Amino acid sequence: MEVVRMEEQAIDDAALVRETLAGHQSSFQLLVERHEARVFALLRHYVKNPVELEDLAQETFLKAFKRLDSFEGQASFYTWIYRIAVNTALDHLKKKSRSPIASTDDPEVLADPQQVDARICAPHAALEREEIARATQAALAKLPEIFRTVLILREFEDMAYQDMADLLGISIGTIESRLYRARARFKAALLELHPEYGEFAEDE
Amino acid sequence: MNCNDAHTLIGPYLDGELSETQAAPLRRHLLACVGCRTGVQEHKDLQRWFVEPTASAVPRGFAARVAQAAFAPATPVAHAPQAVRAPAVLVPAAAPEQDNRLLRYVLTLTSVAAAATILVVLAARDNRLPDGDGLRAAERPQISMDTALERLEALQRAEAAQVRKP
Repeated sequence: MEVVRMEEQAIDDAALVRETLAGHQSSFQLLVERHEARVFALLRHYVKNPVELEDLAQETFLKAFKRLDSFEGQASFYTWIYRIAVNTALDHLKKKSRSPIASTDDPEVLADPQQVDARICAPHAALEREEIARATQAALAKLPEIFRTVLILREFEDMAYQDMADLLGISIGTIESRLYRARARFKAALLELHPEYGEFAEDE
Repeated sequence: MNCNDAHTLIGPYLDGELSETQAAPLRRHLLACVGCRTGVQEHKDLQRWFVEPTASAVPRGFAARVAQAAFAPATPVAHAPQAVRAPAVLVPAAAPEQDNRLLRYVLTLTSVAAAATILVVLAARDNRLPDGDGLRAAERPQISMDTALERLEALQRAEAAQVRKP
């Protein structure tokens, strides 16, 4: 049933694209309504300010509108617009950030992650979902963009390594090594912000 | 497989990215190594931190605003497309220039055909006028093409003069 629903969605999206190209504004609006929640959820990992967030989301959908005739319906519309959203977010950060930490050549980015002498615990059952999400967002915000992006794509979007590699234009090997470093850095950042979530080795 | 190798493979293993050939030695190592099994559990615990906030970040009326901006004519609206593109099938980019060329060609052809028809009619009228009660036409001297053109121009001048003085 799920497969059938996904196919129907794909057909409907393709039809909406055709109608949009034929000049139907309401069809484009429906297309945006279908995908806005996930696009906003993705972009929220990159920008916090609500105005900036809406601007980026709008830019994403308008870029999609301008390139709509290049959408051939082979991939799902969401995959297609997701790629545009990620690239829009990365371009935005590139323009905005003057910090060398965003560069892939930065020695700190290339260096092996600091080993934290503690074990991260799973979120405690008493923690509200919002509390967990806030802590995670704060830790992610401390990571260089290249690490943040692979974690977002893998952990929130459940994206396969090959899809991530295609999207970011890098090899699977680079994805693997970035994810390894990204997870270590995320753990370190989370424990730095919230040492209470760690299980530290007992003092000797 | 040593613990360092195992440690780097735990992530791809739990992400479902290892082939069976790669996964089998790791599983054998994990069966024998308590430390790496703990590593697997820690990796799973870390993954449980990645949850999205429940509250939606989409502002009310967002889709309607975006659709409006997309279809608005090219104005200095922030992030609006530079121009609304008409469907390619209806208005191909090169169509206006092609249409103009075709129109010019048809008009020229029509003018030439009209001039030729007038010349033929004039020549026929001059050469074959009815004579007497019969249907026989009297022979008239042949006129040259130059003469015919001069007569045509004279006729056009006369018609133009009539148009100016109704």
